[in-house]
Amino acid sequence: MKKSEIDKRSAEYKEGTRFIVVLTLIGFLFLSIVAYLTYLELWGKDAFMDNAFNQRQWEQEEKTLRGEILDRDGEQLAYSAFTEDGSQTRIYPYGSLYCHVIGYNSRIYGKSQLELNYNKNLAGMSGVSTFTLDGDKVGETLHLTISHKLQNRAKELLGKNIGAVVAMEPTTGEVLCLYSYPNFDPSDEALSKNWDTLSADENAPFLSRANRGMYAPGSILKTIWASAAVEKGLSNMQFQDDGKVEVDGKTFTNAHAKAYGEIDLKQAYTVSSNVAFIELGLELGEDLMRNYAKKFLFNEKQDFELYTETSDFGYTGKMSETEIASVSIGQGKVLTTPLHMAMMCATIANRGVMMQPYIVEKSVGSNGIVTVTGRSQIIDRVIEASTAAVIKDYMINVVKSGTGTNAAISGVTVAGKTGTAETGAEQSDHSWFIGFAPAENPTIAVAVVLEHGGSGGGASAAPIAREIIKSWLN
Amino acid sequence: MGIFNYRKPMIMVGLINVIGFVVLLFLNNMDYTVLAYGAAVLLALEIAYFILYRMSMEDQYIFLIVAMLFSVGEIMLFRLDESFGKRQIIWFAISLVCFFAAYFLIIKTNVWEKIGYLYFGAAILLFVVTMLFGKTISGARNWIVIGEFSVQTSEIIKLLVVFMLADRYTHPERYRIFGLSEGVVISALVYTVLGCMVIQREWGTAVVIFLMHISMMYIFNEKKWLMLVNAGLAIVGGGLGALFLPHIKTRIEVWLNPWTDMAGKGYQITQSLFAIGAGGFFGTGIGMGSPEYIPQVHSDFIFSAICEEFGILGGVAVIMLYFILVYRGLRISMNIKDVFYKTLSTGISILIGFQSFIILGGVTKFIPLTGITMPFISYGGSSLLISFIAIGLLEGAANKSHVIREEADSIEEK
Repeated sequence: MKKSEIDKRSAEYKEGTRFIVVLTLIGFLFLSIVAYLTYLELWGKDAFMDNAFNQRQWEQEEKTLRGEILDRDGEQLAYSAFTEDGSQTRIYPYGSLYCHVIGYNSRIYGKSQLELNYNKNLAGMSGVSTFTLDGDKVGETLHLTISHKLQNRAKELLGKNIGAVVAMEPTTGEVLCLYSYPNFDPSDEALSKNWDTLSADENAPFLSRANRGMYAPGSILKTIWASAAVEKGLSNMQFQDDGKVEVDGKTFTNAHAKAYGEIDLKQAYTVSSNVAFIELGLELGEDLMRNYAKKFLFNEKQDFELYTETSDFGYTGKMSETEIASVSIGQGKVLTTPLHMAMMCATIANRGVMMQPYIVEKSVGSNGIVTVTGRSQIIDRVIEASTAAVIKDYMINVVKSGTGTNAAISGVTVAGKTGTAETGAEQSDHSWFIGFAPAENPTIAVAVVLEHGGSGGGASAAPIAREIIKSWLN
Repeated sequence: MGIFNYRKPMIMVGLINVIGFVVLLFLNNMDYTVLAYGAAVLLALEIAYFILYRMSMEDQYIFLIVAMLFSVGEIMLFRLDESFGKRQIIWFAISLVCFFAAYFLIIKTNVWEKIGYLYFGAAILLFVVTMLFGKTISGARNWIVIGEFSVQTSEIIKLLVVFMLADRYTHPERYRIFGLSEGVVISALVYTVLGCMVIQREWGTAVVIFLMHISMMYIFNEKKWLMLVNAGLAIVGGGLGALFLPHIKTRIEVWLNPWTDMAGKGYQITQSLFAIGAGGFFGTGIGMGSPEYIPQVHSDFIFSAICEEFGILGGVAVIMLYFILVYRGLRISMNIKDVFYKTLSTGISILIGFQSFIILGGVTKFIPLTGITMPFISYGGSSLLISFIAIGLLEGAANKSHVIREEADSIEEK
């Protein structure tokens, strides 16, 4: 063979190899799609198949009459009915009252809140077959811990004021009331009509302020610092209150710049002295404060059936003295939700043990099989029972002779704490009230927040809490 | 009976059509015209196969694979929307005629390697005409409407680029101008066409053309530095595009996370994933799924419909068909001696390979989505026609080279 012939053959051979390389590459690309599809089928698709935008689910759901939702006394809060053309409509008899709890169930806008989180149960897809006697398939019935009486009362009391009302049973964690305003009509018809306006509304009616609104807690946070003081043996501290105090060049004042003279911790809590609590805060120090905030579940993810914002202590690094002073009176960067403050209040009522709030009592199929049961669960013992007793005594005093007298009910011992959260800016402050009753054997803990309530927690928020408690105890 | 048993694979193609159209008959409330359309498809396939069997085409498997792909697509189109299915049959008939026309044109004429720069000129001309007189359909200005027909010019441009590349490897001297080497010049020409595609927002076609270009450079032994420069340009170009071109940026964002905007930009791809997921391994069966929730399901997203109703396994079968199509194409190309026909058929094979990968990957969210059609399966006259012409050219190139070789052999023997 001539040399040129050998070169030519060798070139052809190399070219053949390169053909095979390209073919292998394309084969590899195809194979990777096959592998990816297999992965998608075996594991990947679980993450998205029950998405509200997957309309195939609706096909399934259309055939099953969606289950109803009842309050703790059997009041119907949501139910479905077949229309003439064979599809179903979801009916919310109380309109906007439960929009932030039950949510909506719309073909266009998807699902939200309990309609979303308990969709499998309501749609009869939780695996328990649910047929009625005449052969129609129906979803499970969801029983809530909510008291319609209280929820409705909260609506009446709040009126057009922006804010939220949360009530729970301190010993069990059952949520009795979870109401926020502004809100919206969750029916399909109303949503289609109002969606754009609602989305653009700067008051955010879609936001469930009760569990997702983040507010500065103001003076109600003093409950935590008072607890820390009691546990650390500082309950005998005496404070000199001249109505204002200067910390690192910044002046903090009491509400209305009132001076209380020489007072102890109980008096300081009762009159909500900022001067005294700033002194206490500086004494406790940032580590202890952060520690107690954490005990009370600040910066801890909430495990609630409805998505809930996590309260934030606000400071991670080393804190300056003015920052410590701010947090001592519930100002600065510390933020929390009304639900969380109700839990904090319930912890005092429940002798220092924090209960897990829950809103779904049970889910029952039409054949009587219970698929979901809400159970009382202890989150943790947050403070000693003896400490809780001391704080309870302080809180009773607040309502008896302090800032919270507007929450007093004749014949019932009410314990409470007012708060006023400065919002900076020109706007008026947020008003807070937390409280529980009857103090001897608490059956309800309440948290009320009024955005820009102005006149302070004692004047505007306390009466709402009082009426809620009254309504519950009747 | 002669016509039914000369080759077994053809029976499988026939069987798929029989099963498919009988099921469609039940889905369409026993409307027997469905069977007539099925019979028309089957008859056209049989006649075409009979002709090429008689002509002893170089590789009959290529046609069989294509026939299978088309059958799966046609059944799916008929199921999705009867009117699409019917119109696609007309396009199929035209495509078959053009398939043979392309085959004979390659064999009987010799102008193809003589016209050099005309390919590039025609591509640019088509682009300019489209920009001037074109019509914007779903966000891309890439259609020319002539009377009742609309033609997607990028499909034709894609094929012109294959010819252009074949010409460069056959006649490198033509591309040595301005003191530059042929590799640099052809790259410049390719990037010019690529730029045109980007202006038309034909990202998919642009990527396919680039991948074909660089694969050809590799196979036909282009200088290493030039390949590296090309790869570098692609990375820089793609990176800049991803950073600064809002359309590409959006596509990448939607690919990474379509779930945040399911009602808007992520709608199509998430609906596609729901369809694929709903099918499982074995599929819901023809007509039992709901692929119609996916916008454009009959064209770019038809693979998702196939996955829903024929299952992932059905989808894998389609992927495998594409792969063996590329395999047969490249195998033929390897054995062609004549450089022009070798590079032409190589280009066509690679083109089909990458195009099907890019759209398969796109609709399954494996890679970012770029809207291109699935060869032989998607609804659309331009795509079907050009795909069949490409296969005709491939077969023609193989046979012609065979003829050239035999002639050369006989001369040597004398």
